[in-house]
Amino acid sequence: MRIDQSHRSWFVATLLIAAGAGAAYIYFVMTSHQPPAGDTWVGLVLGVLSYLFILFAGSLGVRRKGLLLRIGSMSCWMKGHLWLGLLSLPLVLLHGAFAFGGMLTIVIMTLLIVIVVSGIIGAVFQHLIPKSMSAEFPNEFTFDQIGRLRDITRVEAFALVAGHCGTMPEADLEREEAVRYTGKAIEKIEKSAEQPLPGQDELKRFYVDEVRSYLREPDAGKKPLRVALRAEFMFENLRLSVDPAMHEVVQELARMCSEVRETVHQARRHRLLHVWLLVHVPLSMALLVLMTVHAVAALYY
Amino acid sequence: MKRTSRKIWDLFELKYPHRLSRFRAWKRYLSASAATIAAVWVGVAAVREDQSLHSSGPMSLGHTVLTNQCAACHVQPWQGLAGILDGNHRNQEMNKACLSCHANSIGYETAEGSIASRSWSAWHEGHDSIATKNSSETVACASCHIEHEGPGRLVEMSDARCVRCHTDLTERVSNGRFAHVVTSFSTDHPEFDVIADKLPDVGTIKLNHNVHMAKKLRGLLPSREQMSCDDCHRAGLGGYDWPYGRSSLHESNDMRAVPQEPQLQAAYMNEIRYSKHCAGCHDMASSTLSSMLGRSVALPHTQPEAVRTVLNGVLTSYIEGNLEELMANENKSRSRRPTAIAPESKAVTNQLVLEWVRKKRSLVEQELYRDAKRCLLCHAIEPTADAVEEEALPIVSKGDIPARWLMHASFNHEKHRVLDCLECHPQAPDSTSSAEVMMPAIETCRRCHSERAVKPDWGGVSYGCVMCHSYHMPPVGPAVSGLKLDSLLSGKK
Repeated sequence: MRIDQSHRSWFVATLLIAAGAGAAYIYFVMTSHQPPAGDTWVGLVLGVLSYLFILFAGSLGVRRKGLLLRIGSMSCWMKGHLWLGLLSLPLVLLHGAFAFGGMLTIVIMTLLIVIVVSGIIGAVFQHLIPKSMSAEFPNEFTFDQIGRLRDITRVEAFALVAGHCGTMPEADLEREEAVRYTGKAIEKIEKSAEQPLPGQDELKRFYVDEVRSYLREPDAGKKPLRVALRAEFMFENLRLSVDPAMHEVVQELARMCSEVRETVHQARRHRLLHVWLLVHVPLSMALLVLMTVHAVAALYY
Repeated sequence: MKRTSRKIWDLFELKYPHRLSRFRAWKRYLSASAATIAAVWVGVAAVREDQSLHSSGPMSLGHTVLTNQCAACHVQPWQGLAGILDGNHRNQEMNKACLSCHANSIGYETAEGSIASRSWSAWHEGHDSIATKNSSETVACASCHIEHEGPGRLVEMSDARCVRCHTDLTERVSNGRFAHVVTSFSTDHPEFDVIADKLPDVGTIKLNHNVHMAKKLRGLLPSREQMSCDDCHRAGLGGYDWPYGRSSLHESNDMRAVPQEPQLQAAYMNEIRYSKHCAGCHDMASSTLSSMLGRSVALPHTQPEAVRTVLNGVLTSYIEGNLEELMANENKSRSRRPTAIAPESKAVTNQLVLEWVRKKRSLVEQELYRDAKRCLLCHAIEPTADAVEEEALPIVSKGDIPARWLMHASFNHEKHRVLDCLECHPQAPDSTSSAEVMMPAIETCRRCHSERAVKPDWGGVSYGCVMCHSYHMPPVGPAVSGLKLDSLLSGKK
C-alpha cells in the first residue's frame, strides 16, 4: 500500500491520539503520588486502548478473508491496520511506564517491537517496491503465477525446439510435461524436419545444454543464461551458426529465456516485498494470545 | 508453438488466489506454530502453577520467597478490575496484605531515640493517607515501596519517588509544618528546624565546653595535654574504656533521660552518664559528711530521695557505732536542761539517734543542693534548696540531653567518625554554655552530601532522601513466625 495523501486523516488521528496519551501520562506523573504503571488509571486506559488497537490490527487478516462483516473498505482497514498498529507501540510503552516488567510482559514487548519494526519495514517496502517494479518490469506477472508461467514457458521452449529439430531423448522431463500440458502425443510435438537444416544440431545442443537446465531452475546455480548480456551474446552466436530459417526460433527462445529471467528478478522483488510477513504475521498471532493472557491476569491480580 | 493471449488464458490457473502457495503455506504454518507455542507456554505455566510468568518484574530482596505466591500480596481476586472501580478500596486491601506481615514487625525510631513498635500509619507520619482539597485518598504501601523492580530493598527508594509529591505539597498538606517544595537535599531542602528556628537545647545539664577543652585542666590523665571530644562523645557499641569514667561505680538509671536501645547505640552518640564521663573528676563526696565521719564517703549519683536513704544509713551506722559521742553531747545538753529524758531508755536513745541523723543529714543536704560546686554545678534544681522546708527534698531535673536533634531524620555519627569533630562542630571549644546548640547547619552537610561535592577524582557521597528520612529501624521481631519451610515456599498453610 502506498502511503499518500489519503493517509493524511489517519496520520493526524494517530498523532492526536499519541499526543493525548502522552499528555495524560505526563499529567498523571505530575499530579499523582503513585508512579506511573500499568495498574494506574492512566496505565489501564492506555493498556486497554493499545489492546483494542492491536486486536483491530490483528483482525485485518480475518477481514481480508471476508469472515468479518464487510464494514469499511479493505483500503480503510489497511490504513487502520498500519496506523493503529503503529500507535499501539507508544501506547504500550506508556502503559508499562517504559518498563518491560516480568517474563510475560518482556516477551510481549519484544514481540510488539519486532512486529511494529517489521511492519514499518514492510510498509516502506510496500510503498517503494511496487512503484519501481512497474517501471522495471513492464510485463509484470502475478507472483503466484510465476511458477505456472515458467512451466508453460518450459513446455513452449521444448515444443518450439522439438518442432524444428526433431526428437530429443535427453529432455525426457520436458517431453512428459509437453504431453501433459498440450494433451498431444509426443510424436505430434516432435516433428522431424523433412530436410535437416544447417545448424539444427547446434540449436538442439544449445537447448539441451543451456536452455533446458536454465528454464527448469532459472534461479539456481551458475548458469550462463542467468546474465542478460551473456545470454544475448550466446543467442547471437547461436543465431549466426544456424540457418536463417531458424533465426525466428532462436529469437523466440531468447525471448522466453529473457521472460523467465525477468520472473527471477520479479520473484526476488516480490519476496522482498512480502518476506517480512513471515515475521510479522506469526509473531502477531503469538502476541494476540499472550496479550489476552496478560490482560486477564492483570485484571485478576 | 507461438504463444498467444488465448493460449495463456487457457493455460494459466485462474483459481490461484484460492490455492495455498508455498509462501502462504509457510505464513499459515508459522502463524499457527507461533500461536500454539505461546498458548502452550502459558498453559504449561498455568498447569505447573508457575505464577511468576505474570509477575511484572523480579521481586525485591526481602520478598523473593513470594515470587510464586502472587496471592500473598494480591489478596483480592480480580484486584486489578477492582482497582479500576474503586482504587481506594483496592489500596486498602493491598495495605492489609502488607500489614499482615509488617504491622508490628518493623521497629521505628522515636524522637527520643528509642525503638518501639507502632502502627504503620504512625511511623509514616502522614504518608498513610493524603488529604487533598477534594478527597481523601488511601495511599498504597506499594506507591512508595514499589515491588517488582528487581532485587533491591524496598526501603531504598529513589529521590524521584519522594519528590513526586514533595515537589509541591501545597495541595496535600494543610499546615505549615513541612516545607511545601523540596526537590533535593543539595538545593532546596529547608534548613534544619533547630537551626532555622533557633531552638534552645532542651537538656538541663550545665556544661562549659570551653572549660573542659582548656589545656592543663585539673584532673587530666597524666599523658594528656587536653581533653578530646571522644573522651565523652563517642558513637558505637564497642570501643575502649572511658578515660574519665569510673567503671566500678554503680549508677542507677533514674538519672538517665531516655534508655537507649542497643540498635541505636551504633548510630548515635553514647548517652552522657556520670559514671562514664564525669566521675573521674567530679566525685560525689561531701566535705561536710567527710568531716563528720572522719573519712570520705562516695554518695550515689541519683535522685535526692535515694541519696537521703544512703545518708540515713551512713549516718545511722556511724552514730550507732559512736553512741558515746552522742551521749557526751547529750549530757552536755542535759546539764543545761535538767528535764531531759534519761539516757537509759532504749526509746530515748533511738530518738536521740534519729534526731542526730536528721540534723547531720540536713547539713550534708544543704551542702549538696546549695553549694554551687556540688549538684548545682551540673544540674538544675527546682525548686532550689533555699526555698524548701528543711525536710523537703529538692527536685533535680533529669539530664534530658537529646539523643537526636533531627526529629524527622536519622543521623549516624558512627559513619562520620573519620572526620575531626570540629569539622562539623567548630564552635565546641569556645562554647561556654550548654544552652548553645552546636548542631551544624545544613550547609555543613552539603559540603559532602550534595551534587556540588561530587568531584571526578573523588566521587562524592550520597545525598538521597531516604539516607536520612528512612522511618525504619531494624526489625524488633517478626510478626509472622513459626512457619514450616514448605509453607513458606509454597504459600500454603
